[in-house]
Amino acid sequence: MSGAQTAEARFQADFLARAGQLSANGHSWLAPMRSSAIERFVALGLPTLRDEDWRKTDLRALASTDFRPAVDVAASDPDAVAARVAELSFPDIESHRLVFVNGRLAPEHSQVGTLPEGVRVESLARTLDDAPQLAQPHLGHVAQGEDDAFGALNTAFMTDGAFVIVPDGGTIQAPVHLIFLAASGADGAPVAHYPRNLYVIGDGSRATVLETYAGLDDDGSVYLTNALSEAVVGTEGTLTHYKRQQESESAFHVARLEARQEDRSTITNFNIALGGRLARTDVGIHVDGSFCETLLKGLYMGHREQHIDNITRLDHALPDCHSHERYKGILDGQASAVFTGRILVRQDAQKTDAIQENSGLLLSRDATINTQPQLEIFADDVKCTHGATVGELPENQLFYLRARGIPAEEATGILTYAYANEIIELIEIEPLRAQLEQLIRRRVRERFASLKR
Amino acid sequence: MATNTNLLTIKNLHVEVDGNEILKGLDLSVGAGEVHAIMGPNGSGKSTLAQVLAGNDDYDVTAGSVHLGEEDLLELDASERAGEGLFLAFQYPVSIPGVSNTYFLRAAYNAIRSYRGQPELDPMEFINHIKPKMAPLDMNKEMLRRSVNHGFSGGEKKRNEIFQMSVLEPKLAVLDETDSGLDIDALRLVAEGVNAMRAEDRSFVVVTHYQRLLDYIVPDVVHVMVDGRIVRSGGKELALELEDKGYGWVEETLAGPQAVTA
Repeated sequence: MSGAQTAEARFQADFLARAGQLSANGHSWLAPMRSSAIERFVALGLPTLRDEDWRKTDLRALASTDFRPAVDVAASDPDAVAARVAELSFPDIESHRLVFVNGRLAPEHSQVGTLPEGVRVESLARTLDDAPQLAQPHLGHVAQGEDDAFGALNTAFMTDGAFVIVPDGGTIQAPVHLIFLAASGADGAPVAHYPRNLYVIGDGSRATVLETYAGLDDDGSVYLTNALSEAVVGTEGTLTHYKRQQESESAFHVARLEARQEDRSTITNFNIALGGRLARTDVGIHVDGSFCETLLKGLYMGHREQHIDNITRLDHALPDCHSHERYKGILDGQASAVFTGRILVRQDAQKTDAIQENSGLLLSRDATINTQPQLEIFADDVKCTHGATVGELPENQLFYLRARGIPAEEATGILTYAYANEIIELIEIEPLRAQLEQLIRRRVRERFASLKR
Repeated sequence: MATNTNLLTIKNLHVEVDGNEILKGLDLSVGAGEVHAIMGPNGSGKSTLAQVLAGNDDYDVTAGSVHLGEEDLLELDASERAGEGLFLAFQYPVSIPGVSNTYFLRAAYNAIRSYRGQPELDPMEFINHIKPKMAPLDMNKEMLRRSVNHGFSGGEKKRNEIFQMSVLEPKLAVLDETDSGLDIDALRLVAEGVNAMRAEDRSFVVVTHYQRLLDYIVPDVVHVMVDGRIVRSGGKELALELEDKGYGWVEETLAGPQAVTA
């Protein structure tokens, strides 16, 4: 076994043994990109508690698990995939759906409707085959991350993901729904998959993209999702990006979105984190234009021994932009969470108006939330506010409900659900909202048994 | 006020908050079907009494007893007291973002039904139960759909309290400064809501600082509370006398004999 081997050496050996299988799609630039990425990963090593951005997230359990690269795992039972996709998708509205199982497109479960001229919703691997010039200028250029070990690992192992391009002035009306499923092989050994997505939203264009991450079976299997998404949004473009993470509660999930926006563009990001034994989401937005709007909304829920880590990095480089960040978390059991909200306002970014709010609700004495607002402001005419509150439900609300006859436990359940619902109700994809409402209601009801339907 | 038909019986009630005694031996008996007003200067303990009756755990009862009918209220949790038929209209109704008024009311109504061993109402049955109660308090569908008291004006909050009372149909309703912050039209609406509910088997304790509300909700008995005790009780004319002479008058007549002995 690999007992004495370091995690880095193991990932490297896995890579070298499969470099041939990890298709370079005939492109001279992709193979060296992968090779230099694995070298960078080995040089950086997996983050430890000594790394500033990982001080509260312990990766030792991840490092000691021997993950099998997803390329080794045979295709999954199509009936099982179909059943899971049915649970997660939206039959009642129009949407474009791409399903990836263990990092590979599953065309028989995907369904992309008619798209306007020039708009493309396609597998990234296929795009690299048939239209590489569309992807190459951006791939790996938004998420540069010289010091990002997981990003490097993703680049080395990435097999597929989505490529969405909307040319200038174009619009994709229906949401693009990307489903990333992880499935263990027949022997149940832990698998690692590496979804890689690229969204190119042209000038004045609009798109809504949802990334859903889940296990194929709801059986608590162990696996690693290491996802990386890059987005560029042109002048007056609008990208609404949702991420729904409902992985197995034994899974490791490390994902990053890196986006760049130009003048008068809008990016809205919803980060809904419900699953995973260890789940880390990193959202980096480079506001490289004036008069931009950036809205970051997050809801995370952890129970048992889940650890949920969210880091947001907002980089205001140019003047007259507005950002509003709002994260809420609910923790129970021995769960722990980290929220790091970094806002950088560079010297030229005068008149920046940045608001950051994050709050956490603790349902047990053993749950912990660690919040770290990090504001670095180099411009002198800006408005930046941040507020963090972590605690229990307000006593006056509980008493009001109890005074109306609602027993304490049910009152706590009602208020807990309401707390989460303040983020969920902002979701504009109606069936996504309904599915999340149902999931959260079920979770709250499990905890507070007397909560009524 | 025959004692055998007392609905609420409070004897020698002592209550502390953070170690400070607020109620200092309060006695009060309210007969079934009666409306009692409790008046008094700020800080006399009126709102403390209302909160203690409803079961707020922030208040420590150090002595005395409170019975609703035969039931020992002090043995019961706030939600059980509501189940027994107690209702408090809050002086400061709490807003609860994320919980719709309808959901909240149905949860409350069904919790009380289930406490009493009665079957719960489904959403349709519940709507039918509350529909006729909306118009008298000028409650519209929009107010039911919105989060509880969230973004409501002062008047809307107070109307919502009385609306909840009419839906939950308590045996004893305690109205805590329900008149505060209301203009005359809202005051009249709220008073009409209360008057419409007056019944032989339902009693009211109306806590107020001003006599004005009692022009509309005419009490059977008026009590004056000073420094944690009922110091004077009388008919509705006592309220007018208080309005005329001010609370200083009661405090002086109380202080008089003490000043002599001092």
